[in-house]
Formats: sequence, structure tokens, C-alpha cells
Amino acid sequence: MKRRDFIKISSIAIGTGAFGIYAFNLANEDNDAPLFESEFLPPKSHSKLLILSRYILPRETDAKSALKAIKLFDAYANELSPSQQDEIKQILALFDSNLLVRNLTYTPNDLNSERDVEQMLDKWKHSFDHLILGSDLHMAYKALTELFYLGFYSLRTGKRITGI
Amino acid sequence: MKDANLLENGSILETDVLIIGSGAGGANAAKILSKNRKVLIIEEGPYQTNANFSGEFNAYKNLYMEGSARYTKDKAIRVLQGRAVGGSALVNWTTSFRTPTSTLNYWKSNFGIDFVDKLNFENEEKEYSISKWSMEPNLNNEKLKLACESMGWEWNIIKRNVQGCANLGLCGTGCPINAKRSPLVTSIPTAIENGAKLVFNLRAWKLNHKKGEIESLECVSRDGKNKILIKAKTYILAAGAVGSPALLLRSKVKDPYNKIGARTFLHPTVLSSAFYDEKIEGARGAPQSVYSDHFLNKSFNDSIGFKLEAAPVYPILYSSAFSAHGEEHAAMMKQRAHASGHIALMRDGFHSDSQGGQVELDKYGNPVLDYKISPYLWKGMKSAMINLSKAQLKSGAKRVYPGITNAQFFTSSSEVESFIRNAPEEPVKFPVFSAHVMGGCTMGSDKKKSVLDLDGKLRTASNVFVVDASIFPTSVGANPTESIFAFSTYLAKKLV
Repeated sequence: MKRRDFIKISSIAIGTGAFGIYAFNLANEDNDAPLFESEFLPPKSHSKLLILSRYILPRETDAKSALKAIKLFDAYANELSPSQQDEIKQILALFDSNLLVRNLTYTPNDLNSERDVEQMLDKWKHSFDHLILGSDLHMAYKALTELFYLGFYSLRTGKRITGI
Repeated sequence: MKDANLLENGSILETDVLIIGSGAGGANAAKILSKNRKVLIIEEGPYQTNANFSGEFNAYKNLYMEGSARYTKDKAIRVLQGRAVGGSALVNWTTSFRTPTSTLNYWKSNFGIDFVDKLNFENEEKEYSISKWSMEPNLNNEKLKLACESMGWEWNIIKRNVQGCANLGLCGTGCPINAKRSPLVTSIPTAIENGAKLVFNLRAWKLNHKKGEIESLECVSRDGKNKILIKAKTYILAAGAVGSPALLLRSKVKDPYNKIGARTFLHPTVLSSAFYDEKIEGARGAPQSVYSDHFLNKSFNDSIGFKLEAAPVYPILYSSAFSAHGEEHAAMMKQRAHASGHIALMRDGFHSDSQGGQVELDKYGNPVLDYKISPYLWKGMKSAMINLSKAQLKSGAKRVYPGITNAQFFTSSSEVESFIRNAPEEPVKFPVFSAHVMGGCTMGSDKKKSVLDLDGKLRTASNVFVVDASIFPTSVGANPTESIFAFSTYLAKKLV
């Protein structure tokens, strides 16, 4: 394990267990700092995905498990076709896009705002007839959530929390 | 057996017969041809054995095409296909049917496939240990049986290609005890014993041709680092429906009637999940052991026919069935043990309003299947889902959840029927999936309507043959593996 990895995971494990607080702190600190050595995911997406995991995965998920799910997300995405990888990168790029694109796609400027993130996920979930994007935002929602579930439900934590 | 990632870049391999793809068709042909010809098999996916099979995540990542996330062009249909030594037959649910007689007769009368009476299904059943499942169905399948009985629909027990099956239910992620008689443990080892060679992690990219003859095949290792050239006398395509037509399209072989990639068929499949008081544990036990052809036994001119089967309720597969996040999704996951998964597979391709899809190439040269769902097909899928939901409720399900985006639970037959009838007939809003892909290199007697002649030979090249599901001129109307075995045996024997 690389030192950087170790430090991050230790801080999560030792921390408070209050996953939200840790994630929010990440958003406030160094947003673009990589959390692990990724094969596919842009390093600056790591902390954003960690924040999103809080809304997508079950509430009692600890940050260490969330990070593991993101690592599996990364390993899996690396096996996808170039077109599929393009699509995932486009979704992730929304979080770094300009104001116009963010407004168009309901992507919050501030991932620290619980209300804004929930609103984004809800809008994406029900977005089928977007004037410009058609059902693309719904597909982005499906892709993002499924990529989290793929990793999470292969982890012991995911199985324990949902009794599967 | 060699890993292409470890071959030297620029290597040139030579053989008598090159078989592209190691699934049901390719491996079966290799087994037959290797008896007296020098055979090389190449496979795009990895070589994994029961020692490597370790659950859904690794299976979807390593053993399925595009990480099991292949979609049709408009994202309407999710397409599951295998990609590993053994092909789709490595990860299928072992369900085996002979090609229905009605389908064979249709192919004979409409496409001139006159050898259908010579197919020897009995032999394939012996070779691959195909027999009626003799154990009790698991509860997921038992509930399908009860649903059929409650409506007065005939049902029957499924034949499976297993030997010494321990009823673990892990067929979809690779059998951990080699009970599934997939090519990995049957035809591939036999071919290798006969002297065949196999290179895995090697993707066929382009056939080089001159004056109607293929001279070589350009390949690239899966890690993208090694370019390999293969020269053979005979080239046999078995890369699957989608893969085989895509290779021909990339190679720009002559196609005077624009038939390559056309008439690609799925069994578009819809899901209805039912929830019961008792635990169903739908991931355990033989995934499929009960089926009903009640809605298949009708004229092709009528509304579309469909087959009813069960689907295993694997955690990750189940998790993808709902558009939800956070606590809402977690709540659905917590109910998984009580859920059944029942599916209806549409028999596409037999009606003027169901003409399948077209394989195209994306900007990277990779295949994409354009498969538009016609009103005829929408009508059939809705009818199937309504029938399934009503039967589930009538036979004791407490609630049903139709597989429609952002659906809800229903306890009343009339309400679920109304919901499904009013559901939008649009891609994404009404998810469809399929694990069966057929056609795209259609066989037939009429050169204007077919890519291949009745020997499976490409009409525009003298030394290219196809032996996979892409040869079928319509969908099969049943899980296609046994059909692929039977057709590939017949065609390969002609090449011995």
C-alpha cells in the first residue's frame, strides 16, 4: 500500500466514523487530491465520488467501504469499451463544468450542499425528456449508481448492511 | 495455450484452420476439425477456470462483453454476451432447447435452409450432457410453475447441460465445480488434445483480402500492446452475433446487397419481479428449471410469441433493476431474499413488423447494435409483462414490481395492468434486456437475402465460413446454445 493511500484510509478508519463529516471536509480541503492510484478515474474525481457515495450507498456505509467501492468502480471501468469510458468521463466532467452546463444539467456548484446534491440526483433520476439532453441525464444516473452498486454489493459491508 | 499479452509484438502465426472465437460454435468446430486439420483458436477474452471464478463482480468485469454493460445504440436494450475462453456458454444459465420445429420449418421455407432435418440434436445432448433437470426446482422456478398453473398455462421442466451439478446456482458467474459442460471443459480440452492451439486475450481486428480470398488476419492483444498477424488457409468466424458481422464490416469485405450486420436478432426480454412472505432466495439453486411456451404456440402472423422463464436474483444483477439511490435502493436490496425474477423472451424476426437490428461500427471501430423496437414488439412486451404480473399475484405473490423505470409496487391486478398499459413505449423508460444474440451473417439460399451460403461460406470470399449464432435468419425462439452446437457440428463436418 502506498503511503498516501495508507494515510487517507487511516484517517478514515481512525476518524469519527461520521462519514459525512469526512467527506465534507474533503470537499473543503483539497478537492483534486487523488485518494488512490487509479487505473481509469481522473484523480480529481476521487473525492467527488466519495462525497456522492454518501447519497448513493446506504446511509450506514463507512467511508473505508465507500472508498473500496470506488476502487472497484475504477478497476471495472478500466475494462469497458472506449465509447463507454468516454461516457463515464463525460459524466464526471459535469462536476468540473462551467456554470451554463451545470445549470443545464442540475449539477451543483457546491457538493457540500446536501440539498443541492439530493436535488441533482432526483432530477437526474426523473430526467427523460430534457429539452436538449433527452434521457441522457437519466442514463448518467443509472450508470453512476450502477457503478457504485457493482463494487459495493461485492463487498462484505454491502452484503451485511442489506442482509444479502 | 498462450496469452497474447505475452506474445512478441509483430509475431506472425500460421495455421491451416483459424477459428475466431471459442464459444459454443467455435469450440465445437475446433473439436471436430482438429481431428485431421491443424487448428488455431483465438479468443478475445481471458482464460479463466473454476479456480478463478469468484462472484459477480469479477465475472461481469472479466467474463462478459463490455463488462456486461453493452447496450443497443439508443440504450433501449442491455445485451449480455460472454467474452472468455468458452464464450457465452461459459456464463449462460445452462438452459438447453432444441431449435423449435416451427423455427426450423420457417427457416426452410423462407430462407431455403434445406438441411434442417439432418441436424442431430440427440448427438449434441449426449456430447454436452444435456438432460431434463431431475432435482426439485428452486423456489424462484417453483413460483413460476405456480403462476402458470394458476392461469391454466402449460409448463415444463428445462433441460440443462450439466453433469454432477450441486445446485449451487452460480452458472451466470462461471461454474465453480465444472459441472456445467461448457466448451471450457468439453470441446476446448478435446480440441487441444487433438493438437489444436489456443491464444487468448487476442482480438481479431481486420481480415486482409485480395481477389475474393482472405490472406491474413490482423489481431491485437487485449492490453493493446502486441500486434499479431495470422495466416491460414481457412478462416472460421465464431465471434458471436455482433462480433462476427463487426469483423466483416471492419474488414470491408464485399457485401453487394448490404446484408452484413443486418437482421441481427435478440430475444428482447422483460422482467416482472414478485415478492412473497416467505424467502425465495432466488440466487440459489439451478437458475432456470421451469419454462412455459404457452404464449409461443401460435401462428407467426399473430401477435409476437414469447417464452416464460425465471431469472436468478443475483445481488448485483438485482441491484441494477431499480432506478434508485440511498435508502430507497437499500430498502429494495433488503427485500431481495423475498423476490422472484420472472422473464418473458420475445420471439423476434418472424413477422414483417419485427425485423431486428443492424450491427454498425462506432468511431473506434467497435460494434454497436442499432435495434429499434417496433410498435408490434412494444405491444408484445407489454402483454407479456401484464400476463406475468397478473399470474404472479394470482398465485400468491404479495406484491409485484414490473420492470419499468421508476415503477412501484402493486398488489392489485387491475392496477398493475393499467400501469403497464400506460407506460411510455420509449427506450430507457421501459428497460429491456437480452442474453441471446442471433443473426447478422444470415444463411440462406438466395444470394440477395443472405450473407452465407448453405455451407456457411461467406458468399464473397472463398475461404471464410461462419459457425456461430450469427448464421440464424431470425431469433431461435428458445435459448440458442443447443442450436449453435447442432448447426456448428453440421457445418464443421463439411469442412473436415
